Amino acid sequence: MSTLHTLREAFTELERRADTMTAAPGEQVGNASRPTRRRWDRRTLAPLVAAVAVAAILAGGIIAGASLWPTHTEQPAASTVPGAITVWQTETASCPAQQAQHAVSGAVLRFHDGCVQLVDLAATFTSPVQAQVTTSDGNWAVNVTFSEQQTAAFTRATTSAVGHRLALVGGGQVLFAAIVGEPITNGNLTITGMSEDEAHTVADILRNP
Amino acid sequence: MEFTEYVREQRPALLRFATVLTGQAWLADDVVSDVLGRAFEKWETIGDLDRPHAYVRRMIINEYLSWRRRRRCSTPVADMPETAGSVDDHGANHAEREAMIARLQRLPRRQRAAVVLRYYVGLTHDEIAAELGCRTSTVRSQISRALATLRITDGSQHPAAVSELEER
Repeated sequence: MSTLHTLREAFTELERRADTMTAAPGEQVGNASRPTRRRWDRRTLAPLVAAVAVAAILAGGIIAGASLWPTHTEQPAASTVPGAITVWQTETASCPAQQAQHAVSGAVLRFHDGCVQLVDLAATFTSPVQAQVTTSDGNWAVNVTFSEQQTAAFTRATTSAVGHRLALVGGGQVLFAAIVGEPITNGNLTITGMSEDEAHTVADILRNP
Repeated sequence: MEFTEYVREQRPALLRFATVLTGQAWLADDVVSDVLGRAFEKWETIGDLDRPHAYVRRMIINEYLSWRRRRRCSTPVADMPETAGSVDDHGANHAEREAMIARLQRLPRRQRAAVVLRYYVGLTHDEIAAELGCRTSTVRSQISRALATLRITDGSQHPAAVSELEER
């Protein structure tokens, strides 16, 4: 076997590892130091996406550009940042001590080396966010419209977090936690899958961070 | 091209390229995420280019080179762990391939970038020089040294194979 052939086989194997990481939920390939990181993708979330899409259509179809898929299976610990809505990027809440440390800055958290670590600031909204509660056939939703500045912050957060979990945190609780499917650039977001009380609570927190 | 459309279509290819470049899928994921975040901010310019993908690929290379410089102290470069191979994996081939991946990991980053651009992307020496911002002669010597390292570290002597690589 020639070295050239082996080199190409090595490239092919590395490609396979990239594809495996992109496609398969669960264990990471190619990194023994992050054995417990979990991911979700379009396939695993397909039923959920369908449900969200249906709910959004029923709620008035205002889901343009929104590809955050609500799921509450694993929520990050709530931020204690007063007077701000923060967007967190996190895979899991496995390191409470570090979360407490980073909660002060409302920063992006990313699962890394077996722990949730500070990576980068995603977005912090200190100004009120326009939020409207809607309902259709018993499905409650919050339609969020970001200002131009908020849109820029949210766009950057979602762009750099494709494939990762983002959490919208405010008032000491998780408002929304979802995997980012694709960048959201139009400043519109629909949060679905809530009860009436939850929808009003989320909207109130967004309006009065 | 719309940015969202670009990400949807090209992110898998970018992840593949970045994984080949960095040797680690999770590291590639980080690099691609960071690069796409910055690409969006100037997408009005990038999106109008004839080859936006080439521009973003160059951003990934630059991110990889600078990222490794920044994180070298805290992130040791580990050999790729063994993973479950495909059904047609046989012992010798599998071991040789894994050894090659390990040797690629040990290459200096600029040499590795040159090798990847040459033999994975298929660029010419001149094109690689433009990508890396250096002279063509520098690219040739980097690739030559990299190939020598890959061969010597292998413990086997395949001078013909190296010649083949150089001439392609």
